[in-house]
Amino acid sequence: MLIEILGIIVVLMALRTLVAQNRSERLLYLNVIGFSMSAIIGLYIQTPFGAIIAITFFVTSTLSSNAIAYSLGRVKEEIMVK
Amino acid sequence: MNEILGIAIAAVICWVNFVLIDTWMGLPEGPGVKGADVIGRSVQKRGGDLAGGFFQGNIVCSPDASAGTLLAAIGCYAIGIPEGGLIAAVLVYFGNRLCADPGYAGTTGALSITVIIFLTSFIGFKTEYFIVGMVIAILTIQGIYHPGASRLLGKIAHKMGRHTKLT
Amino acid sequence: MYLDFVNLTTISAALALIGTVGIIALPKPLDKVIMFALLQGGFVGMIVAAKYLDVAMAAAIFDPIATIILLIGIIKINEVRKKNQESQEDGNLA
Repeated sequence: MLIEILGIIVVLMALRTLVAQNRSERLLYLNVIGFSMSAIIGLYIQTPFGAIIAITFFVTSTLSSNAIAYSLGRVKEEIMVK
Repeated sequence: MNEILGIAIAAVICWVNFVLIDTWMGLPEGPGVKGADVIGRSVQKRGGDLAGGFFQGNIVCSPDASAGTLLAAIGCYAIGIPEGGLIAAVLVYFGNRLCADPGYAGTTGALSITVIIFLTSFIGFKTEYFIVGMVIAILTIQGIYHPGASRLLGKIAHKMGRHTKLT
Repeated sequence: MYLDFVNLTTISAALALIGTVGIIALPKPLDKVIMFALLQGGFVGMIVAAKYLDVAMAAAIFDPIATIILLIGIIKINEVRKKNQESQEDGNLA
């Protein structure tokens, strides 16, 4: 029951990430997906090592979102080769 | 305790916990790392409040009280009630240093929600309710309507005297 | 009844497919990197569903390092192209 609720949240946020227009909006939806996937991993594997994996996954996904947000500030508009 | 009711009450408790701790520790005042600046200004451009935007950006870019709450709840569920929260607090502290963030919001949130989980376990709240409740709380702030959520966070920041001075 | 289909395996598969569609369809490189992060989330979910926990730990640690290296590459190539464009415009003015 709990994993189903979280699963529906994940899929809805993923679809919103795909169709969103603004890039920073996409980053905020990606953050919700990181929270939910970490919670699902913790609830699925109920042993202490599962909790350690969920915590590691969350911290590293936060680091990766931080890097993407920094690059969005650094590269304001990409120059694409036709 | 009925499951849906338990999850709803746990969501409200988690929301209040992490919003109050984060606002008190100064998250709406300014961007902690550079990525939060980008997200904050983008939310402001779409019609939101700048302090709320900085708050949302700080949630994305570094582990703060929302991360501490969720990870302490997962730790308490899988490892056991006080030990899991303490292990999660230590790992959130490492994550903060890795993101070059000098704050202590993550560890404070983790420790406070560990106390709350311990106290409500006597009333019949299972720890899973807090995990799902925390995800629903983050969904309301970062998943539904960003300008509206940022205005609400800006109002709370005004009331606690932590609104941003940048423009 | 349809809730039987929602388990960790199908959620991770859906995430991976949505991430892949995004990588193929979106034109700008930074949007593709955001979709790649979605794909990584689905990937770790699939490994956890198969109960390979140590592989999941390695994937969770190394995937964001790969994303950071990719982002450093995108920043570098953008600066090189910007410099080329500016020197080309100076050449046109001259």
